[in-house]
Amino acid sequence: MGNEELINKHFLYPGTIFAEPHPYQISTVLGSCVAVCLWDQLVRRGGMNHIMLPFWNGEGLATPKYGNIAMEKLLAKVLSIGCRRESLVAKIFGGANVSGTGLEVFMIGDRNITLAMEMLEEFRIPVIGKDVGGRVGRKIIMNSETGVVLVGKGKREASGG
Amino acid sequence: MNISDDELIEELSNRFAQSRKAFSDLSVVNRKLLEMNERLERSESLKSNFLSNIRNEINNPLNAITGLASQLAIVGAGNEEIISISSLIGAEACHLDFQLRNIFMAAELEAGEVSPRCVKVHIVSALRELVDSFLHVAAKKSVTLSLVCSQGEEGAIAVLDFEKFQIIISNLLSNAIEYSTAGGVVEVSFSVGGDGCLQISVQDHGVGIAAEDQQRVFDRFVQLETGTTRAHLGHGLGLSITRALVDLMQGSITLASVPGEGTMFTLTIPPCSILDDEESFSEAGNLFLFDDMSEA
Repeated sequence: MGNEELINKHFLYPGTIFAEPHPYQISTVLGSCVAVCLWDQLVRRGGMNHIMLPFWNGEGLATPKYGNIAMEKLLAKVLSIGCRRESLVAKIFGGANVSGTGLEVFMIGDRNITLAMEMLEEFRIPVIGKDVGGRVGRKIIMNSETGVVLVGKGKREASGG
Repeated sequence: MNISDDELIEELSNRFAQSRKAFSDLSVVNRKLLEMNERLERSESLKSNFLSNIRNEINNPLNAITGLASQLAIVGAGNEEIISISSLIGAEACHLDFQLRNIFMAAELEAGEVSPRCVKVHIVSALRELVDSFLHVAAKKSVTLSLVCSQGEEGAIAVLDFEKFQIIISNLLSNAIEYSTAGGVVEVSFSVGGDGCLQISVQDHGVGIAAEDQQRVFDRFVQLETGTTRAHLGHGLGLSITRALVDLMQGSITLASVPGEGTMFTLTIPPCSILDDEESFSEAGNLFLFDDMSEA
């Protein structure tokens, strides 16, 4: 981590996607949102999305705020920067149930996780790491060159995406 | 009523068979829905990619038209006809530019490539500039635009993404003017709360929106009145973009409307905080190395 100062940094906003061919430090803050990191072990490049809700309902703009859109778009984007599908691996973070009601309709965190896992299975991309669920928010920092992801867990109730 | 065990078992197995049947029907329908969804997503992404690619091809000639129109006005100084035609070209090009900005912003939002870039903005002058840019449109419909600035707010400053702010307010203004009746007034007012939240209201006194339609107006390509009775310009893209941009800025937008009396959109934007949060969050949490992908 000695070159931490030299690397480009990008803060990933909720509902957006980031993947660049150059090494980047991609960070984001997660509450009930889920972030999926895709990384190519051989090409050593990758990207991240930030899912707020599981499904696009066909109304509003079809932004990557919705899981089904965000997963497709992230995959397309990492492939477009030169990653190869067969050497991609995935990590999943977030999906805390921060509202604490326990009612299924409100458990957006769980639904986001399920959606992300199902879509990765459909893409046949192995999930090699995850830190999901729970009650507290997270901050994650991904190094797109090494594929290392740092996770910070909040003590307070998460307010992030 | 007494039934034997055999009858009970038979009845139960019948019911199980029924629910199995219903379940398999459902999974067939579900699979069809998923296929349909995939096809929809594919066409969506084709469209977004297409739009972000042709952006420059469209913007460059349009900039040339706007530039040449103003040149023409200078060259033809003294000739009334040339000046009026060139200002018409300029106004139409401006309108086209506004529409295109919306379409490209929608494409960028759908591609997930939009990040807020926050700057300090002097609210009154920013709003004044936006209101002024709509004066000619308003004049055509004999609508009066008024910017209400309460005492003590003249110097108000907010930290936000200026480009996105412009698109949001432009869309709200354009809508308010479009749906105003002739001779109506559109009022823009704002306040900055103690927590730095910026609140802006755009009020028109036009046709209003029925309660059951109030959420639908934020959907894409929805115009409440469609078909041949449609009396208003636009494509129903503006408010869906506005909603998506407000989401991106972590703000909220609400509307209050009485049919026949008018509509008020209220926009609340919190100060850009996520970047500051980056530091505070790592202090609050314990940052640890999750694992190393290269070893997996």
